[in-house]
Amino acid sequence: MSESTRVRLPLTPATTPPPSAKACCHEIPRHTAGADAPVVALVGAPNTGKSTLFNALTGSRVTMGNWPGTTVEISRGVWRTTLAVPTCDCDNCTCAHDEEPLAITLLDLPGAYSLDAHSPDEQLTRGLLQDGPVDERPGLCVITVDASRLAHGLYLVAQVRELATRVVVAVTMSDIAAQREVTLDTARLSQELGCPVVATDPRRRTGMVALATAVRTTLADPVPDPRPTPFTDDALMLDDDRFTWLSDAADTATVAPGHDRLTLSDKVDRWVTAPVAGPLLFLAVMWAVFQLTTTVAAPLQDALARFFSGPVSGAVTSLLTLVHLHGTWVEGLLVNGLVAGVGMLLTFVPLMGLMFLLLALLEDSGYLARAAVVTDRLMRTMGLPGRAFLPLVVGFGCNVPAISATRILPDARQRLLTVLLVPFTSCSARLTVFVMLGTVFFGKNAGTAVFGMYVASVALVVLIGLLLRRTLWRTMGAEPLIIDLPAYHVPTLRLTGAVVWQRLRGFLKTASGIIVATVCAVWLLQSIPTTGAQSFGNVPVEDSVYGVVARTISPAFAPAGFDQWQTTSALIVGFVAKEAVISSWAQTYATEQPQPGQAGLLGDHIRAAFEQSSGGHPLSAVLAFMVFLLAYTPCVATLAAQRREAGLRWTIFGVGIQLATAWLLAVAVFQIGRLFW
Amino acid sequence: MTPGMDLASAPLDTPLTLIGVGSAVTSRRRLATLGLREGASFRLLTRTIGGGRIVLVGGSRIALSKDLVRQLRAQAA
Amino acid sequence: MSGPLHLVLDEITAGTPTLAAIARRTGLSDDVVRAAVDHLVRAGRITSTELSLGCPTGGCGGCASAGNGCILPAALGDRRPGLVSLSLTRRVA
Repeated sequence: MSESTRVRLPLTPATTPPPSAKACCHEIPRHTAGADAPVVALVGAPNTGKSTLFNALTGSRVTMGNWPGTTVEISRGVWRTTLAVPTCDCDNCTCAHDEEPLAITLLDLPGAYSLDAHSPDEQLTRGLLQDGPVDERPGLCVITVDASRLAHGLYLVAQVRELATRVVVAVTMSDIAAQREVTLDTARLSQELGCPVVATDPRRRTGMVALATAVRTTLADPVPDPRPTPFTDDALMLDDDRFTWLSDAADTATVAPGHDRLTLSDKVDRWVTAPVAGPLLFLAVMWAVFQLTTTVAAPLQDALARFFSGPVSGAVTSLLTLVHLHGTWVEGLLVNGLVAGVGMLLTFVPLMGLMFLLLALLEDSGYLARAAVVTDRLMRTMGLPGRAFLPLVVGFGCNVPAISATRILPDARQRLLTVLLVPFTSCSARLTVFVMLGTVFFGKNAGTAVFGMYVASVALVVLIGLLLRRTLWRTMGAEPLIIDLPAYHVPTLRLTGAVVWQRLRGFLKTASGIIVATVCAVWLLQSIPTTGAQSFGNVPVEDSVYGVVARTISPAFAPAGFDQWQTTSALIVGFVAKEAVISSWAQTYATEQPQPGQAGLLGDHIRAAFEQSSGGHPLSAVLAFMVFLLAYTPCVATLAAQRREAGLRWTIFGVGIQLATAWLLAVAVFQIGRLFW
Repeated sequence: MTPGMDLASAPLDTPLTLIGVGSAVTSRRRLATLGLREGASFRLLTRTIGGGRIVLVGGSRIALSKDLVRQLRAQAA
Repeated sequence: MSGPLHLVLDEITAGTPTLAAIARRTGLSDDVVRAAVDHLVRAGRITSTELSLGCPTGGCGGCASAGNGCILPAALGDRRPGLVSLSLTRRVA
């Protein structure tokens, strides 16, 4: 043969042979109970008292070393047990024959959470229990499970029970479990798991007799049937099947201490959920939330708004002047577009932050669960749970945080319904417009008119809620109320702060794009001239594209009595931000924004406008306008929040409902109203 | 005639044993997870507004609405 | 009917902020929720990052994505009482 022919490679075995319990004992004869003795493997997650148990059972008769062919260290020992004594210490057992001495080779396998073989330790355990021929496997597995972390330890039990192996579960009662007064019904657990369960304390050496008895009995029994598993390849489904099994088992077997003690929480709850005191306390809490968000956040919002329209805009203008761009459309874009947009976005930060904080505190302290109980009956008529009261109440301050507040609702459909209803709550920005119009048209009845709008708002929420529920979600709300009341608890500031920051960041991320884009878009529309006489950025409003759009839309409002283009343009701006309605309205008449509480020149213009557009029935038209403003789409920030919580499609659906409702109601109000006024 | 009484007529602050969930089959699993399963011992703590009850079982407090309270049956422990 | 692992994964995706809140909303015991989270971390379905609050660039900034349902349990197991952020692992391809 020449040297260029193929070289015969040594044959490598296709697989390494699976580990064998017997092989270990044959190779190193010390500290085994003999070739015919049963081999019991001690397995379990780390920190479950496994090694302590091993030591308790084997005493000093232990050999430690690597499992042949691996780097995994195991201990092997002899566990001598008789009928009378669970662990016999004598080296050469002289116990009487009728005490049935039994010597067991005990293998202390390394701690393994599962048989999923993520580590060499787990691989060995898995190989030993699963891969070899049956007579090479341990005769029985003792699985240690920590009572204070039952679910954690039972996963391995679930997996081992899928193999044809005898199993005994040794629940180690750690001090922690005892402190928590966790009472485990081992008989019940044994029934659920399908194998004997023994409570032990390896440190104090209690439960050893029971363990020995269980092991001896089980060794004599035939191999049990494995636990049936679903027929699937999906790893998560298999894992989840085990979790369902172990969760049911753990829940069934964990028993409350004999006499549950009444705590201070319970005494407090007697009042908090009582028929009269409960709702009163709830209203007080709601009022506090409402007040806090409006009075504390408002000055911060104003300060931020002024900061952006003042110093920041001024700084940008100065910079632009330096580069000779002052007075150009670039300045318009940067100052009236970007800076104004970002400024508006940031004015929401104090409001949202405060709202998230209050919500987190309410939920974490445990009060929210009680509030849900108190308001349950009232909200049930709308198919909403009691908790939905909170976002709706918040909505009367500002719709934007109210949308985020719907997160406290556990059910997705209920969340969605509430998200769609929040825009019908009359926020404080709408209030500014109502007050102005009230002063202009209703004189001393202004207060009544505004109050009427709030009543209309509540009515709309209820009616639309019923309508949506009856049509879209008929089966919702049919489940009876079951609320787990957590113990009252002082919220941890650090954790609460972290959660608030997390949510705020999320809101800013989503809302920023939409708000800034919309503000810039409005600026753009107002800057594009439609006649040749003007230049870009230097256009009176009515000649800009914006004005043309307003004029085009106006006729749609003729049946509602307010088809003046300036009026319509106010509504368009209101889409961006209701806070900007009055100022932009003034802009269309090229007048100054009125002082709060007085109508000024703007009032005169508006009076004339409504008089004309309504054909002599200004009051009805104004009412129609106010109703339209109440119900049509909320500001773009609310839409951004809605998109974040409910998705684009539902947000568009919501916009559709709102526009339809607003227009129909406005027309109805005007047509019916002008018969009287 | 089903034995025992419904929770609506059961006394407060008395040890009780749950003997049935009546027609509240859909809630049975949820109740069981919270500890209220057949054979469990519990106590009624308070009446809540709207005719519900707060139940103390297995160390947890659970608020139940009026309809559910009418369906669950218990007897004195 | 979903098992505990799916329920917990859904809660994490929905942004439920604490393990206690997950337990309340799913009806699972605290013990099972903790075990489920541990398992999901092991299985690589969620990634766990330790947060140190007050650190400007670490902390929440180290989280996989805020929009991905970041949650902040008070403790992960009994071992570390620190603040840990859990987030869904981005699956590649």
